[in-house]
Amino acid sequence: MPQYDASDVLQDRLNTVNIPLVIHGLTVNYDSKTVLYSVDFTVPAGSMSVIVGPNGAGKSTLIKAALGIVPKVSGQVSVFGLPFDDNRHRVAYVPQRASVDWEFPATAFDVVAMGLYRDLNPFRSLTTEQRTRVIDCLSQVGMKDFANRQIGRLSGGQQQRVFIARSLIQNADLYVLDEPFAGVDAATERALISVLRSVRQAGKTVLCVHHDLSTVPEYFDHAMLLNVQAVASGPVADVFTSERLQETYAGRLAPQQLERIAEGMKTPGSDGLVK
Amino acid sequence: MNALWSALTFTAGYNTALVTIGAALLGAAGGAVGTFALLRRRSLVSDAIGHATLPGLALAFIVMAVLTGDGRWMPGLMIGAAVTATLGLLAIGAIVSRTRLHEDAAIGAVLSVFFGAGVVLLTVIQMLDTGNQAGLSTYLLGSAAGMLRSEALLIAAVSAAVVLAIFLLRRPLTVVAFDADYAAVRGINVKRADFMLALILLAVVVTSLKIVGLVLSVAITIIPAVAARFWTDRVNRMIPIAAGLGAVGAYIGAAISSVARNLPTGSLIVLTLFAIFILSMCFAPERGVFASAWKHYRFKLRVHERQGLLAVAHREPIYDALTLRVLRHAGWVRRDGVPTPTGLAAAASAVEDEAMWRLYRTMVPGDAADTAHQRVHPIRSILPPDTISALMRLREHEKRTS
Repeated sequence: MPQYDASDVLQDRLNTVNIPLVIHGLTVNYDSKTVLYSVDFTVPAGSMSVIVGPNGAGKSTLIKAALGIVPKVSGQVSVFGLPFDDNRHRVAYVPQRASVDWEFPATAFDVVAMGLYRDLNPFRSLTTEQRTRVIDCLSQVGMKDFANRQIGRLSGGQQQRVFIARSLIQNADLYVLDEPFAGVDAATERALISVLRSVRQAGKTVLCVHHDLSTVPEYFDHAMLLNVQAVASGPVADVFTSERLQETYAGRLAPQQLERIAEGMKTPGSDGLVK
Repeated sequence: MNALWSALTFTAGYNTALVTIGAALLGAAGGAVGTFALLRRRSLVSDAIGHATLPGLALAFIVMAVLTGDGRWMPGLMIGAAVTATLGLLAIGAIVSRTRLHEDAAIGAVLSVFFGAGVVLLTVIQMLDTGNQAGLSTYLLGSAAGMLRSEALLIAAVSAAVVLAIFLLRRPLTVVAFDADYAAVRGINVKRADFMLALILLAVVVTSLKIVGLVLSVAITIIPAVAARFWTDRVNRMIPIAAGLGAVGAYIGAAISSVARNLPTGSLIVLTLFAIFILSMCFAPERGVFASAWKHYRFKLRVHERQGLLAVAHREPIYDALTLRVLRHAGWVRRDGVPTPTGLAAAASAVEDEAMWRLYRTMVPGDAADTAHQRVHPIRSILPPDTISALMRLREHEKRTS
């Protein structure tokens, strides 16, 4: 057992203060079923990181446990060197679309304004400057013209744009998105990925849960393969080998799927679509 | 009728005015807190609270009757009611968190057990020789008649405090009701927000016992909020609208009851609120029944217009009378059925719009299904600009290759 003293603790903290997210030994149970077992994962600063794995691998649970929504059995999480509680203002979270009540009386504007929650004075309504920021974030995702529409009357892709706009308004340093491209159209997927790229270009870090293996090499540079336990994590080029993918998906990937992924790997980042 | 008019205009005497104003404030409080009870799906909790007040009322009555000889002191009864209602809430919480039962089962169990216990205690009180037991039965269905001035002031004060509390907590309560997980990530204590909502609901229910009665107290939190939902799509407007509707309903109900003295006030208030609900359901713009019927009719005209224009573009004859009428009315075909120049232009742009919608459907089947009912509108008014430009590129490509 190594002996730690105060200066070691300080050194550890200095080592992690620039790392957006460090997860160590994370274990989560639902009732008696183990959903995540002793997962280690580090999200490098300025990366476009992705968590992939089959259904039921615990991808969303990993995010939720890291952000304190789901209780953990054991494990530590640090966000820019501090417990999440002390740095939550630096994190923007985009939940899965399925978790939202679409009948709720809120317009696209209202949803984005929820992102300002921390800055609002309970006695006042939004200031002109805050209203401008809301509209500005809606324009960044191409939804300015839909500001006054009730969220249930938007299409799936438009709803997802609005939720991305709500995360943009926080001006966070780490963006955590749970299946941002699930059930959205191709044009929206491209629009959203270009918004996330500009976020990353501004020096921020992006972490997504994603289900489409074939677009991973094109969209992301750092990946973790997850199936209850961490199978591998690191640069996409190192991690996305057919052996590791088959290990993650328990051998259920078809040869054509692996071929398509390998195809994407040859030309990383050359997505002729986003221009 | 004259008596009712003077009750409504505060000229029927000091006491009646006091009662109607107190009821109006109570209705406003019920509407304001009810908005969040509805959005957080806690409406039935207020019913459980209402019924769980009965044993507390009865016990407080017994204790005060034994100690002072008169058990009808309202603040004492309210405290007793609040105590057992809190126990009821805790019981619901414990059942939901410790067992596999859902909240509806927990509410049903708690509501009936507490109410049953209360009825037993009421029977005990009737056997006691206290003389004044008549005072307690009015708490079942509410009675504004003979309300003391101090009682009306207490009701008004608690109601005003509730409205203020809801105003100050409107944002955290909204975020929690919309998405509790997101609220938690943002650092809102969801448990505390739910606790505050339950506490405010409890305050409203306990305050409403005298006027509305414990059996019907649930109505002043549910009905105004549900009625208000018809009038707006935004929470920050729904709160004042619900408060306003609740205030009007409770005020009119209390005024009627001051004239019809042998009818229970609670029932009159609930029936008035129900009338407001029916009016809202029928006449609200956008979401009301008539507005929906009108919208459906407009949609039908649009479908005929679109089909007519496509027929014009394809040089097909039009037989449908409604289609012809729509096109003639727009000046797109002449009386003899020959298209006008503007009609031909409109037909051409309808063909182009249709082609864009078709491309959209092949490009994004999932999203297109979401917007299927909007297909008769120009695509530019429905989809965001970057999707439109992507579609236009596809369309150009299609035109060049065909």
